[in-house]
Amino acid sequence: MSKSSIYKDVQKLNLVTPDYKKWPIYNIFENRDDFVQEVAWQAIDEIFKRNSIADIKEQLASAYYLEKIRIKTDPYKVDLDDENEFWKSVKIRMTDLMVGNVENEKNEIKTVVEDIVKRYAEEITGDFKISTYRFAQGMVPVILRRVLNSARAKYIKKFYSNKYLLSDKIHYTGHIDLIRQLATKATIIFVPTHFSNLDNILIGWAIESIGIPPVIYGAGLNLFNSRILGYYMSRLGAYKLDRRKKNDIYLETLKTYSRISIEKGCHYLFYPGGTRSRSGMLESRFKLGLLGTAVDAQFENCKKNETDYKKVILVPTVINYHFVLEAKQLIEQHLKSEGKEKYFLNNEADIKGASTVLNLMWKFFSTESESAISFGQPMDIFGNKVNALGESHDKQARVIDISNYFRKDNELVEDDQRNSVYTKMLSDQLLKEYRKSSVVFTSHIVAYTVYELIKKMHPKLDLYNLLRLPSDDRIIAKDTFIKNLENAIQFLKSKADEGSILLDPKLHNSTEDIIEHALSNLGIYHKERVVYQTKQGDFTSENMNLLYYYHNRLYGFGIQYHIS
Amino acid sequence: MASESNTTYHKPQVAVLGAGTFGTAIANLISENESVYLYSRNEDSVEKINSTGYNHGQKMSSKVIATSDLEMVIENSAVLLPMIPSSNCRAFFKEIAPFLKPNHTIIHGTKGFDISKANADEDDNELLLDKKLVNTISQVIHEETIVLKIGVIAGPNLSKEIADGQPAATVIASEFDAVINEGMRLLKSQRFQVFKSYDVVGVETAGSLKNIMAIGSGILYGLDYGDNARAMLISRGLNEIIRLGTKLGGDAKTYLGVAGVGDLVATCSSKLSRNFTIGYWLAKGKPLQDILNEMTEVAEGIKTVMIAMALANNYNIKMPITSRIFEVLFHNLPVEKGIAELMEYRNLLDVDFIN
Repeated sequence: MSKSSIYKDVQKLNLVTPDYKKWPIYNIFENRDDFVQEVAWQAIDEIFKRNSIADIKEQLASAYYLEKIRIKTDPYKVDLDDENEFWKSVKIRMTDLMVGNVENEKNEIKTVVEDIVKRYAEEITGDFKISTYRFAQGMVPVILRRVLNSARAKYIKKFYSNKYLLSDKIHYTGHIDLIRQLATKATIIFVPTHFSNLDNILIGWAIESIGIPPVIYGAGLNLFNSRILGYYMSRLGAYKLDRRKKNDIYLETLKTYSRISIEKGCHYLFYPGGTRSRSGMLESRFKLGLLGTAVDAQFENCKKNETDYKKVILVPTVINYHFVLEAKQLIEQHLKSEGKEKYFLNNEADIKGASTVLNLMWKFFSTESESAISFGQPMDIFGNKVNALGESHDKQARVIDISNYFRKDNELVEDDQRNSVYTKMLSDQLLKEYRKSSVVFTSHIVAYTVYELIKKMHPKLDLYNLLRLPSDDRIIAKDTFIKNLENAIQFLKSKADEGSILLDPKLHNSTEDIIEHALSNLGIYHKERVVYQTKQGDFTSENMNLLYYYHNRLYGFGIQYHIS
Repeated sequence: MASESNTTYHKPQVAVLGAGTFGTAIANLISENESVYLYSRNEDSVEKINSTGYNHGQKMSSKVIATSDLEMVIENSAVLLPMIPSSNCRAFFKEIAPFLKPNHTIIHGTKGFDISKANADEDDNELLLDKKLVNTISQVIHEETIVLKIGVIAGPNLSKEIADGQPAATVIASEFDAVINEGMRLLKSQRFQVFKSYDVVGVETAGSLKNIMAIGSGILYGLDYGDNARAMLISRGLNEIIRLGTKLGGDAKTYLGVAGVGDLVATCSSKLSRNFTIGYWLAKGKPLQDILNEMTEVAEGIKTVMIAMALANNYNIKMPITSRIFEVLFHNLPVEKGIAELMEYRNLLDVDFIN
């Protein structure tokens, strides 16, 4: 690797806390039942604290209604057998309440809520097992290496390339040492970008690689329909998120689970964007529900120990790919939802069955393509930088006591509205950090430049007409392309110098090498070539949607001003 | 807590920073609810306030404590209300940043933008300003300090009328309920009504952009035009303010409220305002530089016209009134000609900023 490499070797990193008996995640699940009870009771408390009895009655009615529809229209294999009976009994009890058949109304409402919350808490809670973790820790690298070598053998022509290491495949950059130091003192929450279903595997692997003890993470309940997958995920720290359940009581239970896990010090992983980026752009907005539980957990931690509270630290993490296997489906969904009537769906599947994780994995490892995982600046929940001791710093490098953000007249004051504004501010800080921690790959800038040049050739066309351009009208002359690519790279280098983006070391190669590398990596697994060179040496694309998708990765950095 | 802070002799826990006419009026308003520091960096004026009991012709309440000890003031006050010109803002917040703590609340009353990063040159009419380079003051506070609880006040608040004890109203905007409540508690009195808003950028931009129209109103007055002309300026000016303000992130509704129309009408009607005075003398044929030389306090409108014009060019927003005022200010366009040009516009839709 060249001298200018931003990547770090993580091969020799040990676990920061070798003794698993000190891991909060281990301790919680040693007494899983107690944990479930604690979550349930705190969730019930929250519900009754935040809502009037009339509101709760309303929530119960709407929960019943929504659950009934869910059971009918969208059953899962993993759903409990007695779903129907349970909700029927809720209905009967509700009816009694409505007609005034109950002596102590408040009490009865409380027991109904209790029954529902306990049921939800039980479902949500995972079941971390150290033995399964150890097993996976030993097996996964072996499996990955096997996949890597056997899958790649077919494609690699060079004779000597028999031994591939994962480190050739996945690069690491960013504040790894700081994160490791913080992980022994604070609760770390990794909040990665989300482009592909492959993210789960890569980020899980990356966290293990830099020596952080296992994290808890939310996994869609639908994944638990597969019993084997469900078994392993659950025992590796997953908790279950059911996207079908949208009633307030469920959401409160889920949030309570998240908050208490953080309070107890479990390192944590969740995607603040909620779902995969459809457009291929870096996230521009977060879903604030889970992020809010980080703020609430910090407040609770301050309450528990006003002078020596445990910090909650966010680590914005960016996963960078040369290609995203689901790109075609994602961008079509994006265009369809944004463009409405303007977009005509071209009904043609890209990769068959690309949705299964195993399939994605195979395809990912079977190509030469690399990825980079970039751990951004760790910050407290107010967006302040933290040092290795876990202390928060202001811009003048003064150590600050963040519990003061929760104080009025020196007292810690509960204030949901305030915390929700803090959550929004935190999300703004994380989004900024995503941009700084982005790693530009050769393929990103090549796709970006080609698309922008095509767009500049047709200034009057809107996006949807641009994407439908006939192939003859989207050819960029070689000289024009090279000149603009060089300008764009020059600009990116200046951005990298100010620290507002990261560059893959290959971008320091000659323009020729950059182009060659990009063309052999950009969206390599799609049926159509995202960018290719014509016989005359000019540049064009076989699929404008995909070109647009890959171009979007560098959207919003101001590069367009350097392309003319 | 409440009982303590209500006693007259208790040390103030709130401070107005900047003892200009507006800062002085605000400090007196707060003093009706509790004791308050009034900070001025100028030791002589502190001295003067404390010895004479007057500042800028306003009688000071005994519950206003004037001081030039910035560090002490910030240390003791949970709520800070900086009332300073926009051009000093960034430097000022940099200066006080080391004294600020996370539990401070800052409610500012500056009516202008910050462009300190853009190195804007007043002679440079080609200036290309992006939203990223133009900051509202709340954004500056956020960038320069650790304080998160930030708010702004703006409204038809002509200092002299407030000082005379006439009824008036203002808007306090913040994302935080806690900040809004704190601001209301401090400012609200029998003669001063306080409305609330969550649209910080909207209130800030409304308060800043209205100064452009104040210059325009002064010009009309200088030309001896009457109420029809002024009403036209106010309503069409509002149109321009909304178009630019919403582009900067404000909510169109905000501009129809007390901090928008309210402040605009007051500023355009009052002969007291500095921006109005500039317009008036321009119409009388006095060169801009001479007018500015005679003023003791900053007229925010001049800088705001320049910034608004650059932004309008950059975003391709039509702002005919603003652009004529810009030409009058910086390119010696005769005022009559500017007005004639405006009257020649064709095919204008009356209201296009609300659907």
